[in-house]
Amino acid sequence: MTPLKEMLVTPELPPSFLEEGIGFDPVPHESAFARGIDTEPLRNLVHEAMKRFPDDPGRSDAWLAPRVHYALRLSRREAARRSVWTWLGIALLPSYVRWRFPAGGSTPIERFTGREDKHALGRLWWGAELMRNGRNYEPVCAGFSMQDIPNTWMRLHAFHHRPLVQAVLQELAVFNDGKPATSDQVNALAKAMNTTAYTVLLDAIAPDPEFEGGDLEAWLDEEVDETLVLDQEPNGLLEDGVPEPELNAMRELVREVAARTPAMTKSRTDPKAAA
Amino acid sequence: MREVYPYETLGGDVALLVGDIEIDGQAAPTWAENEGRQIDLSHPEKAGWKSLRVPVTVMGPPTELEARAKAGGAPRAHVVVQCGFTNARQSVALAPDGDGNRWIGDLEMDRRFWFGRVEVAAFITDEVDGRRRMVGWADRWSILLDDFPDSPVRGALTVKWRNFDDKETDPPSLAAAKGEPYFHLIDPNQPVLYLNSAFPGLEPLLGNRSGRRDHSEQALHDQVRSMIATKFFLGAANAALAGVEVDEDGGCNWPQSEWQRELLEALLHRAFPKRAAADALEEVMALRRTDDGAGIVENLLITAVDRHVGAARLLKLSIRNLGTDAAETVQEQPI
Repeated sequence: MTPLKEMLVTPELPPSFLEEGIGFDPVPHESAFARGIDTEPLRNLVHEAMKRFPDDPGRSDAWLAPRVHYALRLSRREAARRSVWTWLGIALLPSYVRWRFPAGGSTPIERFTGREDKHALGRLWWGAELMRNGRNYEPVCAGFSMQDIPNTWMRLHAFHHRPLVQAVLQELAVFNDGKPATSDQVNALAKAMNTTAYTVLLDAIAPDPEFEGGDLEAWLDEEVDETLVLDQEPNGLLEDGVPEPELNAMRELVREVAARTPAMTKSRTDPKAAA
Repeated sequence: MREVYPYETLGGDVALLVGDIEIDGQAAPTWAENEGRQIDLSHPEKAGWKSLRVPVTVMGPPTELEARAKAGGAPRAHVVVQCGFTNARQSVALAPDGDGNRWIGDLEMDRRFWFGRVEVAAFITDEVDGRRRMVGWADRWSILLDDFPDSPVRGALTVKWRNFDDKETDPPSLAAAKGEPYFHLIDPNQPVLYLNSAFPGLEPLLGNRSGRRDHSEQALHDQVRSMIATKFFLGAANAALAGVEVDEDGGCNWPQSEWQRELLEALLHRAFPKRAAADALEEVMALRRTDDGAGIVENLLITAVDRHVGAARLLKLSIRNLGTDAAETVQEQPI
């Protein structure tokens, strides 16, 4: 067992660590995490992703994100501690961080220690937490198949509204006659929806339900067996998804905003842009 | 500065009031402060609370709301709770209570979904152009959890004394500042000022004490305090600006860190008192991209930080203190 730890103070990382993973000893900077969590299932799944997608790290996200969330059982409150992600990036899985974001030989420091939409592992966990629909991780795969979803949408406050998240993922996944939206379309809709949320109260259209967390304790305590999810999709926390009426109300809003966003409609009818 | 909307909004005040809160089913009335719009959960946080119930009331301008209702509108009120650290959002549709300008409800919060600082916003909405749009906003409340340091803008900077000479000192990075009086840790999560207890005379000079300092000691105390705070806020402002992302069309996204955003808002307000914060940020970011812009921005920041810290006031006080001392002592050698 390799227990989860934290790095309460972000250490200074030498260039040799960012470039080659040498020249830095994380041990003096480690602190125990408040709850005993075994990180070996997480490590095994991450290494499995590196084996399965040796030449295309970006494509591993859609496979790995639900599994990172499945293997690393944290409450949102626990996951909000950046010190946890710092330890995971620097001490437990630095080779993955460099593999996923080689950036010409020197991985940007934000991929080891940055905020949740930049951190190599944090973005996967938080992306899965924000995009799962109850226990269903399928929307997570759809979201990470369009890289601009984690890169752009995850920064928006509106993306914390669960009915909107599901509506956006469903609409964008089939936006171009059943094919996913292009990068430009994903970004254009993000900007337009963010502007809309300045005047339209999303919660008045579709209430974002109270966090219940009734089964959260059981999910947190459940023993993780990563071998069960190597060849089949994991299931998440036993929790209701967004109800149909709320989902439909938000899909209607998303369609309406997309229809009056020139960048969306233009590229939709432009076969080159939609390719 | 008031935002401009492309439709009619309420001109009168909208207020969000908080009643007696309950923690784990027990009344805890003293932790909500209406004047500062804060709910401080420091004490229950230490004891490990599980659930929080916050009764809320939203009130709007009666005449305007009545006019809207008569014109066929249907104003409603919502409270939305957001936490940047846990990416959590929760809303409550409030129930009408009275003559159409008052709504009530309860926020129920489970601790496992919240961390650091939680923002509570209240909105009045009405039908506008076929959509339920916001027509009124109350000033936001904050719920402060004790797992996160006070904002260095609104509250005092978190200060910790450490012996920088001690090889076992925590954090270990303090060893690099051995012999120096202080070390600023400008972390997006937790900014901390570490003071060196091994620095001769620093602890008596800056530490808390019950008695008054004499005039010259007070002058030195104020100047050292001002210098440290100025350096901190300048460094922190530059770090915060580095966290701003600029869109292709020049639009800016505030840093994710709450305290960095608050600091930038406060400093930009001092630098551009008549501009909306978002406009001021765009101007500063645009300036930074020009040839001479970085220097201009730095100059703006220095002045804004000086005002934020109250450097001029502290210097005047120090000069006055020294002047008083000089009158009472004999100068042996004129400068």
